Amino acid sequence: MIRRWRKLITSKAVLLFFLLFVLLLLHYLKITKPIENILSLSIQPIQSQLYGWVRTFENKRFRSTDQQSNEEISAKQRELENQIKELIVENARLKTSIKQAKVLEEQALFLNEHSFRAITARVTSRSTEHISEGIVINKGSKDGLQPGLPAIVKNGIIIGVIQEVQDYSSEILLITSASSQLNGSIQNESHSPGIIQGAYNLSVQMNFIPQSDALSADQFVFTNGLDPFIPEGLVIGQIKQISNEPGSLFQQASVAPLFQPFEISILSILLP
Amino acid sequence: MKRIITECMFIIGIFVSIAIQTSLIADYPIAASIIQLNLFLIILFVIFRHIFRGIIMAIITGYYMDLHSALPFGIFLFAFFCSITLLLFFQNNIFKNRALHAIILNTSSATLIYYSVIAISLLIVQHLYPERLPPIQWVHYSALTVVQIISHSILIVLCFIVITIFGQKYHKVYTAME
Repeated sequence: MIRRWRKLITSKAVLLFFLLFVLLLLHYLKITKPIENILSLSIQPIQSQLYGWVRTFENKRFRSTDQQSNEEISAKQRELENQIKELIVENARLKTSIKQAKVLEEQALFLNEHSFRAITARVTSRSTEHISEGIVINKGSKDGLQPGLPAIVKNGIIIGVIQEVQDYSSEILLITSASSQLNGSIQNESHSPGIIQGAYNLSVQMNFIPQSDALSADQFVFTNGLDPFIPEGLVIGQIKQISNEPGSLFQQASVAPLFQPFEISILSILLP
Repeated sequence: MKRIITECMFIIGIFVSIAIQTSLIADYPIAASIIQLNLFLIILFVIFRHIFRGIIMAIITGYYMDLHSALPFGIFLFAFFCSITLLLFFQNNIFKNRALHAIILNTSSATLIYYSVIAISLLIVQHLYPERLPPIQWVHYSALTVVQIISHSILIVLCFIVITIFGQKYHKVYTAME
């Protein structure tokens, strides 16, 4: 009997699961925090580099797709675009840097105009699970970040909200993620309020808009300051389609976000 | 000295594989649905008898994935541990021989266990904290699992052939298979 117990205790499976529970316990007691920081910081440089390459490649691909459609218009245009394509290939890295600098400048201008306090962060990778749409940035609680803070790009376009914070990294849940929810208002006469929800990790849906309010496509949707930490006036997107069912208390609108998730490499986090 | 360098290279290799999975593969939905690089490498280590390395990789990868996941901490660690434990069990008790079919079955089982454990964890999280997760498309999830089982099996066959050709250790197995 004792021998059987000893065999069970020393078996690989039991030892592995004991190790697992010790690790979980140490994590929840925050004893492993320094190791977690080392782990995150060690991987971050490699991730940033790889993510940068992917962004450069995607930008080039996006542009060359545009060029292909223009090729059909005229032969002259095709020649010119081919030249541009060659230049893009030659200067891809340089252009990416300039683009990032412009984004930073635009963000800095916006932040100064509105007297917002913000931290600039770099996107290092995508979230590790594929159920929601999230990105990981290289700033964390040591930089003053906390869950709920909004992330913006360019001149005040909100892209998401911080969901999880580590010491040196954070995870941002994008507004297109199905589990994301925000309060917003439409730029019309009555400033119609509504709830902004991600739809299929691709677009955004605005629900619970009062039935009596007049809406039209191409109107902009902004944050209305009802969410904690999220100031009023950040751009969420532009209305593309309105669905208005007769007899219903509310109407819905499909909102197109003003950012492409794969284009985001630098962003700002607004501090409270 | 040689051993220290080897171990350092191994640790750097783990970091690079995590970075490739999270920054490169995760960015392309098709690639992400075909391969889970870290899981595949862990299976590769365990199948080719580098069990301790497989465990170290499972701990580091699972830990990192849990740190950067919106799911409760421990799900990925638990999935990797279950996958390794049952893979070891199958390897030592059921598919004992070193033939190709046994290796394919072991790989498929480990992949299936990994995704099954995550699915069960998701169901539990969804039941306990319904607001934390969006509705999960189980058909899509099952398709992803099947695709990864097939792709991991194909990859393990390729690795098996390469290792057999370039390494002497498994030479007898490969010739027996032929």
